[in-house]
Amino acid sequence: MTVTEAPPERAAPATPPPAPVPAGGWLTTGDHKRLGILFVTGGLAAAVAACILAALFQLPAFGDGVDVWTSRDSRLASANVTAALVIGLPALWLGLATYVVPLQIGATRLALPRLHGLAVWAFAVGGATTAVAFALNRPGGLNVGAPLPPSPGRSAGQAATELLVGGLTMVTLATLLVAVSLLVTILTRRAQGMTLGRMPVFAWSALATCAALVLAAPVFLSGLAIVYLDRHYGGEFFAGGSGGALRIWQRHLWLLGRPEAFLLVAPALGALSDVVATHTRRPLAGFPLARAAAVAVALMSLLAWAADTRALRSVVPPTATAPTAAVGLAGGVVVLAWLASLRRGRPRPHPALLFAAGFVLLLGAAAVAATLAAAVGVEGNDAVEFRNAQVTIVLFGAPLLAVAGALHHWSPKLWGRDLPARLGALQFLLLFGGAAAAALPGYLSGLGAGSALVPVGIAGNALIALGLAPFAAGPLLARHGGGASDERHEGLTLEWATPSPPPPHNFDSLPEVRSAHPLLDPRSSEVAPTP
Amino acid sequence: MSAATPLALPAGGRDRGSPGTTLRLAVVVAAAAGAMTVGGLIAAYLGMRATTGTWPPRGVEFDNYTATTLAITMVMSSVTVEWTSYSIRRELRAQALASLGLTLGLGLAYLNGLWYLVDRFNFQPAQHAYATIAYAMGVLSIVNGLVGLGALVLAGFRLVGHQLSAANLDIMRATALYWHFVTLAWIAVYYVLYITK
Repeated sequence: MTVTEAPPERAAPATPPPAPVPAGGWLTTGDHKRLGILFVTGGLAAAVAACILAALFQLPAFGDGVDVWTSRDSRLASANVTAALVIGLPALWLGLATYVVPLQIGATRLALPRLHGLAVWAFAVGGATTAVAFALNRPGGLNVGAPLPPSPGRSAGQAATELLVGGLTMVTLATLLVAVSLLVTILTRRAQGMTLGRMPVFAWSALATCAALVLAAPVFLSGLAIVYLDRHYGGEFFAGGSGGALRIWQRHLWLLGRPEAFLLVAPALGALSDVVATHTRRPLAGFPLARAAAVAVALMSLLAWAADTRALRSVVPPTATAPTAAVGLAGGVVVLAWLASLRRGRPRPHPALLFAAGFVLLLGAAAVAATLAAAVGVEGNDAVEFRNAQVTIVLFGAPLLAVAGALHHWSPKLWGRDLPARLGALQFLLLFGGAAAAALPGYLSGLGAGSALVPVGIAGNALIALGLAPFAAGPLLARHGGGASDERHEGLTLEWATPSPPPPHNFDSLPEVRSAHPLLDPRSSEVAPTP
Repeated sequence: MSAATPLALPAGGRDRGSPGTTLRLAVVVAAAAGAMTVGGLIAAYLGMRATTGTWPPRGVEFDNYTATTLAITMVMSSVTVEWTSYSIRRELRAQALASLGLTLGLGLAYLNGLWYLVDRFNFQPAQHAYATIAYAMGVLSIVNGLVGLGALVLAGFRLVGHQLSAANLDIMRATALYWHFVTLAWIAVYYVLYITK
């Protein structure tokens, strides 16, 4: 056999250990890797806090049977929804996108690093302000999960309400700035040859999510501005007795809230698509179709905004209408692509695949539950409990599993080494079991089986918090993980073309991209015999 | 194959984002976000108008003269800011300085007039729903104008310091783009508040 094509060059055998971070380094950094880790850490803290709040919320003494979507009276319910869906999960996805997407597109840095750094800290300050607002007093009726406009006039919780408006404004503004930064980075800083058509699914889903956020977040900001004027000056925009106020608040809130509900799922589809492709050791089956479907989920999420507000009390939040069904259909296409890849590829056991399976199972269970509810006809207070359970599964449990899978998948990049596989399996059991247990009482209560299982729900939330906690010790745990795993992963995308963790400049030599799977070509040419 | 040795791919050259492209795209995206903010307020205004009996409430006075003057001022300033870009591209330094000075003057006049307009509203922010939304639109227009004026001042410093030229025009182009957004945003607010009411 004659070898006519030289194998790819080898990189320098080892990269020197990174220099210690100077004291102010993390505060003033514009490095997307550090900013991503900051975001992820903050998001994990908020998600754990949300679990604790949910456990407290389920204690009968605190708020039995309170509807998280419509109650304006429960501080715990409002704090729980805000911590989980407005701060925690968005921060986790923004963090992962901030860390991974520039690597995937072959960028050496963010396009707007200072703006991005500012946004990370604004997000942190906004989140802290929101927490203080809830700790201080009951914010007067302003509930981001509520379809009702904030209660009128000045109240006992005036300071808390104004703090909450300020905190939410900062968080939303920071989310918007990060979306602008990522959008510009993806459009202007791709490596040579990395056309939009060659970008990985996660980068595409990040692009579409950011575009949707740029359109949706400012409208919520304008709604918050009206709320502030109302609350601070004792106005009556939302209290003039006009039915229009209710609709206006719903539309303003929904233009962020409805897409964001789906935007928690869209990056999950993108990230898990990359997970499946990497660990089945083959390009994703139906790659263009799967990529288009993942993008469609993000873009069609804006259509969900057009759903009739009367559908608010549907048992499948956000709404059970044709646009949301279309979103679900696109998500189904992506899942089919995963299944086809698993069948055709050579799957390698990895915790990230477990989390992907759990994500699909939870969403499938929610769909079955919704069908059951529709058949049985869940109504009244039972519907409240049922809807809360659906929120727990669809908007919190499933996206959290996807985040955990993504963190395990990219742990060599984030922390230098793979996290231990046994820990991954344990975390999967805790998160999957926790999400199922947290939602079980609501489902049973909704189907008329009573609410005797409330302790199970509380335990479920505790399990989720326990499952997330190990990520906080990621750098420590990674020391006990596998070896440097770039080769073991046999990744197809550019983030695996640089050492783990990546150097400050990301790539020692910028790769030349000739296909959607740039790392597959050199590896194939290395082993392919020539005639 | 050594398990720990990463593959080194052929060098593909630097990533291709030039500062100018990045800045212009960032401004376009920021302007899109700003347009959605203004659009959100206008939607709230129209929604409230459609469901309220008397709109605008009795007793509300409109200073159409000032508002129209502001709209004309902003259209003129959009022309002068383009004149600045043109002059820099043609290396006509004197014209560039003069046109940027004109733009700054018109911008200051706009902000001054807008402040006067909001200050002379004959209602308080909390008086009724119309008042709340009118103040929100007015304040947002002031904020947009302040950001735009800040960008113009920065571009002015660079122009005075010989840092803008035909080959280095990106900051001026980005500033002009944002200024056009400020103009369009005010015209939208003006149309809703003063023309269609």
